[in-house]
Amino acid sequence: MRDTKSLSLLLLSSVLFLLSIILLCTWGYQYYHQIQEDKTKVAKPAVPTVPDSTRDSLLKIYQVTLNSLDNRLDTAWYYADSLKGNLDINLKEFYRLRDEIASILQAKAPNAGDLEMARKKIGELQQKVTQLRYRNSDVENENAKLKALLEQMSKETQGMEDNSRLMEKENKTLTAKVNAMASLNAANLSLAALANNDQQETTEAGQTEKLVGSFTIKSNMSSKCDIVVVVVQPDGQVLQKSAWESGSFETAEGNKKIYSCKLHCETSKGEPKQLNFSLTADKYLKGNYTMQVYHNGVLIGKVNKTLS
Amino acid sequence: MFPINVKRLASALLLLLPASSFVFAQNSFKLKYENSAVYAGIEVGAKGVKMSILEIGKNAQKTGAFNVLKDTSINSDFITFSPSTFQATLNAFAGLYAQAKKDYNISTESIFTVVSSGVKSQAEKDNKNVWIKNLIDSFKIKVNEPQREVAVIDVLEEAKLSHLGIVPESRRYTTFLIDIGSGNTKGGFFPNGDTKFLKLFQLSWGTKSVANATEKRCDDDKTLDNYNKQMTRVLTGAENSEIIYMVNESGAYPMSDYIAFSGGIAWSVATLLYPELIGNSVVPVSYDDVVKFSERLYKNYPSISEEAITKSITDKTLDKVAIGKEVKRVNQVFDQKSLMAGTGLLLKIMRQFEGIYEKKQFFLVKNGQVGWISAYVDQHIVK
Repeated sequence: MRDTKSLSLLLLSSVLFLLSIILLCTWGYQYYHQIQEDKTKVAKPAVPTVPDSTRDSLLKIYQVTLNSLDNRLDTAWYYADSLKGNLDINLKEFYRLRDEIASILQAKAPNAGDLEMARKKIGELQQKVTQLRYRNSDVENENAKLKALLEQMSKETQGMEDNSRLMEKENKTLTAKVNAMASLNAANLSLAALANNDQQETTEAGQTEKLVGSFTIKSNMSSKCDIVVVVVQPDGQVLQKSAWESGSFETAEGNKKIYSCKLHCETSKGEPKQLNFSLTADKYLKGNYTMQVYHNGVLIGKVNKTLS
Repeated sequence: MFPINVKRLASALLLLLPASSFVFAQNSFKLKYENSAVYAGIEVGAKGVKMSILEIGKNAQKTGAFNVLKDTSINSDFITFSPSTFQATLNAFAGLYAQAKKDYNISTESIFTVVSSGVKSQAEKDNKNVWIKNLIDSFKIKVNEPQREVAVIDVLEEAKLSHLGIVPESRRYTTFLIDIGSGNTKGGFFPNGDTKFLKLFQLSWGTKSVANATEKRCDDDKTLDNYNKQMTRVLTGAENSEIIYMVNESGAYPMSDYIAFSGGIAWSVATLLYPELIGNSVVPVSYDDVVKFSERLYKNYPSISEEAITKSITDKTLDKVAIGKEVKRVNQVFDQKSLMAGTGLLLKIMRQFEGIYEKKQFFLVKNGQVGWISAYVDQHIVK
């Protein structure tokens, strides 16, 4: 794509150059004839006139050159942030030259001196075009370098984010373990099945109307805490108190677990506190029921109950 | 002697036939409760006609024990009140009624038919009450039940029924129920310790209206960063101009221990945030959990895809296929921007109840859409 554009620029420059030579020859020819006429006739002040066709052809070349370049220059102007200072100067010069040439070529009766000036300026304009072309390629190279740098930085940031996430997870696990172990422990865990309108304890699944659990917690400091109770049924499903009282929590290992119920409590330093809960199900399965007690995602107590 | 026996046998068979079909109907659904029965509620809504097949357990009002067995709807756009939409609504209404009777073998006494508050309020606004009357009359003729009751429910009654249907009795007077809809938010609570008076709560903002206002502000810059920036501004405006005032005015803060949210966005957040609780109609949630979820939506949207969520489930007792299906359904209903808008609005309301010293317990209700119809059915069951 760029090669095609460069080639077209080169072609246009060559055409311009050839036309400049033709123009000069025309001008030389006319100048020569004028001198010859001056010698033979009485000298009278005259303004050298240039044929309209010559002027028009120059104007046309100039317009074609500008049209083919304008878009590219505008793009260069827009994207060349890093090299904007230099580009500004070059573009200003380019536009100045363009305006000057335009005003010369659009003059109603340009003299030979003006046309010579226009020729020089077209040459300068061509030089500027070449400079801008190089500058544009510099900008593109610079952009490519910056893009590569950004990609590299993005990869590095991703790595740092991954590390940070890992560290955060490890910290969370450690904090949860330290918090739970240092401040709270559970004892005297019991899980019982009740029958006959809660009057009698049973081991028969068929007779069970309610499961009741209790345990004692002791803390190293006075605080408010949430204790999570998980009762796993023989089929591996968690027995939930109700949708409004059950939920899920994250264990210290980062796994999500459904809980049967959550108990809120306030502990006094060193003072044991008993907590109770009850669970009802539509049907009680025969087999082993496991009660697990969690604090801050860490298992602090466990007990089993078998119903036959 | 013989003819009498044949007659008795025929009578017994006649009696047994509907009974067995009822049992079949009950058996064709996977029932959740031991002592329960199956009912159908058919509701003519603003957008269409909806049928909910419900399993209502013993003491449903006390425990909130109702289970949605099937939820189906037909779009008919009744509130445009044109002859074509009238006919479409009538066909849908009668069609779903016939489906409940024939396909699910539900007896006519167990099918409840109502017209929702959305239709009633629009008809009142447009002076089209006669269209509702005509629809009901035409329906009765079409199903050949001239005595059938088709109740027309108003906003207050619907809000009251929603509360009764969703919130269990034990938490009835301590729970503020807020339904975040697409175009508005409404709800209420019972301040006087009885169900006679419900204090209504309404906001003019819903999930879709927040998303629309944000899109409008974005102009030509459709990037997610700009959407997030503009959404923050929209929500801050909504909070300052309406949410703070309306929550304060409701007087719910000192009266409520539990704040429950229903509506599409509550279902979505609950499903995506706690996929492991797929079987639970209600999930407890904290303000911080929703804040983190909101950040996840913006910064790590792929993490809520069906694949990512099912992959993250380690509990082998959970039904990964069912979870995947539900997550997919959420992602089909809400795209990233709608989820961000709805979650943002949810957070702004939650924030009004997130005190430094006193924290309320938040819940997300997943099947809120059938809450009021279930309460209506439960209230009208002949026990």
